[in-house]
Amino acid sequence: MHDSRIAEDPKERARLLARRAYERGRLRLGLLPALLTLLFTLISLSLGREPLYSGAIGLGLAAIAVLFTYRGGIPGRAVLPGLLRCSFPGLSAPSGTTARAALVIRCACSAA
Amino acid sequence: MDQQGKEALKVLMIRLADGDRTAFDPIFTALWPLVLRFSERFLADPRDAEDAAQTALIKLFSHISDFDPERDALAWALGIAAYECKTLRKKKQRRRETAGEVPIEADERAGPESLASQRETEAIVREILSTLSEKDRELVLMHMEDRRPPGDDATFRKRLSRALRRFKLNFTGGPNDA
Repeated sequence: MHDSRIAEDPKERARLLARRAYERGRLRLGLLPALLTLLFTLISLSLGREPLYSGAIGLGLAAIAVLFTYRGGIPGRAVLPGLLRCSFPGLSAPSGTTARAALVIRCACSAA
Repeated sequence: MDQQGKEALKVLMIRLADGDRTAFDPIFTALWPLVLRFSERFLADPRDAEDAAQTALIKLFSHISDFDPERDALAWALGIAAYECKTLRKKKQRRRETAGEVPIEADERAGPESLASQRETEAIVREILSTLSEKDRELVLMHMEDRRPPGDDATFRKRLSRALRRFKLNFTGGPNDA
């Protein structure tokens, strides 16, 4: 729809603003796992012998965490379980497809 | 909205909270008229109602990931709308009260004693005005500023007389029938 028409029609304006608010909300949702990932990266940077690899993989993982959470669905649901299982390996795994997605996150996390 | 509609809305909200963007449009289409009608009942001005409905839906979609599937989706949406309407009404009322502080102006040429007395009277009048209902306050302010609304003059005079009576009662400390 044309921009001027959107500005005139209150319903369309509200739809547009609500859509933007929704996308912003999704992005905000992705910040928590990203912060968690960056925390792990800092730990691995301080402990590891290859800071360049640790940093690169950590940043990549943070970006993936934000992207997956933002997109949602099974990969989005898998981000936090994957990160938590990476931090606490004793935690029980989620079931089904989410478990496989969580495993991918966990492997990437371990690599970082 | 019937029970089936409510259930469908809940399912759509759960899907959207999980990141399924295809659920956005059906939810918006279902909620906009309901939230707007609800806001119109709450607020007298239709433009305010539109603003409140828009803000409510922005908040709802922004925090949809917090939606609890155990809760009723429509009640959640209308709860947000009610909160927005209340906030808007309070904001408007505050603005009107601030605007209503103008009518009495102290005469700067008077002596300091007279000026102090005028200021004191001003404070008392303001205090009494704040005890009146919104409608009465508006009428008394119109009278002080020598304004008249367009339309029926007799009705205005009747209402003004009642408002002034209540104002005087409050001024003399009599019973308040406002």
